[in-house]
Amino acid sequence: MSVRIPIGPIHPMLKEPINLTFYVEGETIVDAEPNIGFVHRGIEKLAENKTWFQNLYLLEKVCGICSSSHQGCYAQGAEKVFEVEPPEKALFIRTLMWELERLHSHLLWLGVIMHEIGFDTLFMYTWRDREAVMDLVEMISGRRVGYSINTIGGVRRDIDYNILVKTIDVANFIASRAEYYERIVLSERTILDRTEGVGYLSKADAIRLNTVGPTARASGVKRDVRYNMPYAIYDETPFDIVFDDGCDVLARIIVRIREMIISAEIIKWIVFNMPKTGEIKQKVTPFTKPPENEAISRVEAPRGELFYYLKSKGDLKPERVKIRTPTLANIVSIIHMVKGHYIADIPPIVAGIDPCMSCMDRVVIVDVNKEKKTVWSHEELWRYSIKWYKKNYLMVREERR
Amino acid sequence: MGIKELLEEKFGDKVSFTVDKHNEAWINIPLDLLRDVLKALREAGFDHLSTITGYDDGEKINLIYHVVKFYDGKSETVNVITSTDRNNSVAPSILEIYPSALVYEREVYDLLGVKFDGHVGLKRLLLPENVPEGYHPLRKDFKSGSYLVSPKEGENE
Amino acid sequence: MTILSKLKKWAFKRSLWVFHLNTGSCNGCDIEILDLFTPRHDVERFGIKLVGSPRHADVLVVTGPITGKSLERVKRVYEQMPEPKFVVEVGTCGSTGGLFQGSYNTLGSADKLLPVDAYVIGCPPRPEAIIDAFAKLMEKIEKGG
Repeated sequence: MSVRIPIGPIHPMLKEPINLTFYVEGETIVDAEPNIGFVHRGIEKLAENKTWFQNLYLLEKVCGICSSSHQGCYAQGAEKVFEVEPPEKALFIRTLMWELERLHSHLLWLGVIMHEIGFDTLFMYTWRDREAVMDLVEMISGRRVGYSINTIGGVRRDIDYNILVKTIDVANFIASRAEYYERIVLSERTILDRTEGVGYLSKADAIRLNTVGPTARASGVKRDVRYNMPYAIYDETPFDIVFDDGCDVLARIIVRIREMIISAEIIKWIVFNMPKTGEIKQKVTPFTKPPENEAISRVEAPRGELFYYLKSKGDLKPERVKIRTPTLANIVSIIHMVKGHYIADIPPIVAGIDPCMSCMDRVVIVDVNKEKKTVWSHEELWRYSIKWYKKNYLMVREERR
Repeated sequence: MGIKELLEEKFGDKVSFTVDKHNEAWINIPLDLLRDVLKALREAGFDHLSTITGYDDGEKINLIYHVVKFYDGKSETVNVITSTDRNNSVAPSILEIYPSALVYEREVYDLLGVKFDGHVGLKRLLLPENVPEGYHPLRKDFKSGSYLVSPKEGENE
Repeated sequence: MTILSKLKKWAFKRSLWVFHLNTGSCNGCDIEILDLFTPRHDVERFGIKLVGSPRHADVLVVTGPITGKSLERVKRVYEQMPEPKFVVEVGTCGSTGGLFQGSYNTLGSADKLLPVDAYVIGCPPRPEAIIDAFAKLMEKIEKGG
């Protein structure tokens, strides 16, 4: 009896939607069903035919936004398989790149979610601030996207003294901008109307559905791979877990902004405490055969817990590489979160988990009672949601009080 | 460790428990004990399922369930290994114990062909609906005949 | 007549409306394309605008190796665009198959499916390289492509 509406691109400009089908009654959503697989390129099968070192460059392209997390997690797991320990300076450089990536990913996401609710000015501001981080990363590694700094046994490039000085400037700049954004988000009426009380996920549900990342931490669940299973040098840094009790989209924005401020602190600590001399990698050549082994590696990517399982049969090629990205773990939570909400709330809720899977399609909204099926493009859904809120914001504000 | 004594008390010697040098615990169990072991682990506080890994080693299909227990500033992980036949691959579904297995079991069915008894709506997750029956890419005897057909040159506009 | 057609060509190449389609890429190329519309590179001063529907678009910008599930979508989007239309392919994945050659779920290069007018190679290419592709496309339109 319900109209099936395939929701296409949720990220308006990134055209990176999850293809979801929503069943609605009037304006309220009653059920949802995911349909993913548009970005399935067969990477796990390709990885079985390439050597351990060639896989470093394949696995970096699983995701362009969090590429260093994927490559670093694989390198960490492969070091457990090969039974080598990277030297200390290498761990400092690796952690520095992970934190810089977290900064650029959270700024990107902040801009996109502000565009979703119609606040384009903040989209332009955040993406302009992001250029400072991209310039710094280009100085360190030579590339803006996809820095390829890790290798099995350490890192590939060393850092110059002048670049370290510039890093402190960038960290201070981003921390001050993040404090400015936090003030705006908590005081602008337009943002609060569209995000407060929207996409509610209680703490018990977040634990039961195994949510990961800032989405879970915004529901009061104190879980972070850097806090519970420290890896690399995180147990020595001034890292503090950030969490909030709001359980809605506004809390997810606040958690990510505060994580940016903590990342800036960690970056400054790394620069001041990095060993001045030292090796940056172990002597593992592409022709070394690892022992017969299996290993598990977990890393806190900007979106949540990233999981890798590697198995070796003593050969030059791995037997199995298993990847579980954090967005796959959060899909079950989206289905739960949208129930009971208006159609106009779909863009911020889905963008709130920071989906990192590329899909393209249209939005399909199925009306359960009228048996009416409408197919909208993302742009139409976005315009509809902004217009609807302009007309009905007083009613919604009364309801949510 | 607490969890080792708990499992040995409940299941005797059908469960073999080892800890490797990176402090990961591995438990090897037969397929019919899967639901009971996971239920016991869930009640002992291991409430986070990271994922379900499946791999084909040529003789049988192995399934690994990775569960984690989080507490203040620390964690404990356990990996449960079991295996099933290649020709008639079925396994019990753990959807009531861990609701997040909804997507993981669909992925293992899609790429390895293992059918989960008791799953709600088991269908392919990543490959399109119109692939031929028995097309499971991660199996070792998979012949990569592509189902993707590109139009001939003449049809191009 | 020739003055009118010259005017049409000049106006057309000065206001290209772009529809961006992701056929399965890792998002590296997509964030570099989006970077074109932000304050540092700002291609709106050349008249290039991003639209939300293929029915309003002149240029289709494609990224990614075409995966199984996205094959039908690409064909449908291309058919919905009105004439005259052009296709720009960004990234190595869609030009040659890139890193994913030999995979069971990717078609490889986009020119097995669509007639491509400009290729931009890089993984991902810099925003300046994508602007260069648009400049070459404008030259092609000028010469009567």
